[in-house]
Amino acid sequence: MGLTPIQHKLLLRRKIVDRLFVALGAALAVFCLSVLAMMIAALIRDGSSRFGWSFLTQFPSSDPEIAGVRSAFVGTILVMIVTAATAIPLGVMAGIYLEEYARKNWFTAVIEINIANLAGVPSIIWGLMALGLLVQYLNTGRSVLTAGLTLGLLVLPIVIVATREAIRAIPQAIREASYACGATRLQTVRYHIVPYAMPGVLTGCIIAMSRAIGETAPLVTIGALTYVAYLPPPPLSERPWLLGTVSGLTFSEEVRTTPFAALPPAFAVGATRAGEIEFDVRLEAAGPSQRTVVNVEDSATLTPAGLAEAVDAVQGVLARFDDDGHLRFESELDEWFLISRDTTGIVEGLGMERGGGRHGFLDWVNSGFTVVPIQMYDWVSRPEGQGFKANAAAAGILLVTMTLAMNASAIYLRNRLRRSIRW
Amino acid sequence: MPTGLDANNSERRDPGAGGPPSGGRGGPSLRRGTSRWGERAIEFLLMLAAASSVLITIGIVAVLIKESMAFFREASVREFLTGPSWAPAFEPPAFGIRSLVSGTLVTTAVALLVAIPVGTIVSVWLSEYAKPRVRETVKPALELLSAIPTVVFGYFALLFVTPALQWLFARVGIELPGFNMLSAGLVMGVMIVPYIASLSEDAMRSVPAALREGALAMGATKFQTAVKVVFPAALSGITAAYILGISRALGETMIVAIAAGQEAKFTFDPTEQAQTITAFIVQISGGDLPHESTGYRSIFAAGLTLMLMTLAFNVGGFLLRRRYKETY
Repeated sequence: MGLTPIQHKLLLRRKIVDRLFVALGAALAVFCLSVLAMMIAALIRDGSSRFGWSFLTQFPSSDPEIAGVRSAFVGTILVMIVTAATAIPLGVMAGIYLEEYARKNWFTAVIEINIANLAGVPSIIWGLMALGLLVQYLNTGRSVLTAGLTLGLLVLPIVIVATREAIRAIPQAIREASYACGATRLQTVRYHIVPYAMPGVLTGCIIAMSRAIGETAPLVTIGALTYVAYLPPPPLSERPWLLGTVSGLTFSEEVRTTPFAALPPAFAVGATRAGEIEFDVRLEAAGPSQRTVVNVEDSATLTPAGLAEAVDAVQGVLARFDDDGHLRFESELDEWFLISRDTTGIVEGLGMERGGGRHGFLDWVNSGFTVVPIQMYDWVSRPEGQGFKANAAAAGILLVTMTLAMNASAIYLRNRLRRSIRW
Repeated sequence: MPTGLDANNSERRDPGAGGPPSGGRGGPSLRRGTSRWGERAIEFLLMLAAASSVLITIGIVAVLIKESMAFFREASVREFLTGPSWAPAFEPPAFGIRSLVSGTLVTTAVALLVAIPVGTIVSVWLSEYAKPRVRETVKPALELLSAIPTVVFGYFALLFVTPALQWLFARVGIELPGFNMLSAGLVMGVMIVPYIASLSEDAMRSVPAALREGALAMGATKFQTAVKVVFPAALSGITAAYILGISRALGETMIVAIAAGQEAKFTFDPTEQAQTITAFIVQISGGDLPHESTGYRSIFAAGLTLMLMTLAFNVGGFLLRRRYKETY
């Protein structure tokens, strides 16, 4: 086979192009993976000094050195529980219906097209839906429940698709064998389809949860708090909450109807103890929580003016009202008052009642919350020089660890599955 | 391996062992009515679960349209479409959506300029060149990249990529602002690469081997086969991957909210800072505008705009796909 020199040259050129392309493809893949590595390295570089046990167990604070993700971490876990409780049953049931029951008609076609399209809806749109439908219409508030439902519906298509794929992989012969033994359709699904599909479904659920755990935008949209210095009440725990109605005070309408706004710092809730005003405030507040003790020489001198001064001294302690016009706060101190620059000063009692008793099993779903990605967003968007970037990076380490661990376990599960199942 | 097989067998035997009892329970089930009724009820329940996804869609559309209509009762549609600036929190407010649309389009364009070439090349490499072992390692690793929460990408864009770009731009005498669309777009592009690479690779791998073998038998190099045979044959699936990439870029929120800036500005210069539709929604809903204000309601009109933009790209993609669809 003789080739002319020109043919040789052309052939050589094509082979070089081939080689160059291999190098380019491999280089770009390595580039993408190195971005992943750089990202993790950047987080570790900036955040490892802050990351540690105390970071996980501390509440957020205005002092970056001691600010932690305790409330955010607990919030993430609680929101994930609600998300899983929404997405997994609904998604698995929908997947079973579409694979095992649905007839081929327009209704099924609509559902299928719809699920495919839902997966492409931007996540922030889900947040708007939740804000309009859940928060404003169904009045679920800016709660763990709202967040969990929102994320549950958001990842629903992922669970449905995973369930369908897992069921589709089961050979028809299994169904026929079951029917041949006289099983009904439900028995076939219950004893054969669901158990065999389980590992695949589980993998899909883990992927869905890992997607939900990092989701930030829809939760900002429904009005998740960026600053939470309390934990939702555990089931059946004692109820230390005090409910104070604000009817005794005259607030301007603007203040009352501004649920997303932090109230001006002239509001504070405090408790008295002999000789001092102790602002022991752990509120659904948007500002830094502080336990600030303002010493007053003699409690008799607690005039409204003196208190207003004291309030000015406690800049940043903010109170908020929930939608019913209640102030919610928690303290081991008994006597409470609420002071405000706008009003006459002390209003004792406030029609407050000790809640007493115990929390219900599910009271925590109605609690306000924050989650790790929102805490990270809050820290990363603070002005440079406050020292919160390290906290953001540390929160990032936590987030990346959680999502990577979940994905790695899903990949492991998938590979094991592929090896162990032979139909 | 044997243990794995054992576990598998016992797992398989289990439902079988449950078979006879269920057959036993089949006795009562012969009595018509009761058991059949239960089957029907379960089927109905399952159907409701499947139908819930349709309800969700209706919910999304209804909320967007209802709240947008409430917004347009207070702001003019004409201003919304043609107004020069977007400043809902100002007095008087300005509602010209094009300032947000420009930011969205610029960051999306920058992201796609990274994601489409890189994603396509990586997918061709993975499907046509890489050995199975390499592919089975690299593909899941790339998918891990897309599993990273976007707020972390935002952190990376603002505190790693932007300073690096500022240093680079300073060498050619351009001062890059701390917030800019370029950095956000580039990072977003890298985030989208795995989606495009993974889906395109699936599409190319499902091209029948006979087509490849035919090309190779004619003396084509692998590169020629990939570019002239496999790529066109998989174009329908690859278009779907691009459309998904565009949808993700349009709707991406946290990266642009953190790194691209918070000031709406009508500009097509990626080195400037500007606000996207998504970043605006985040800013307002996390901010302190009263719920009853027109400014607050504008997030729904902005959301509707975003939804329509995404829809337009998806419909366009659907038509393109139908045109390129090849069946074997």
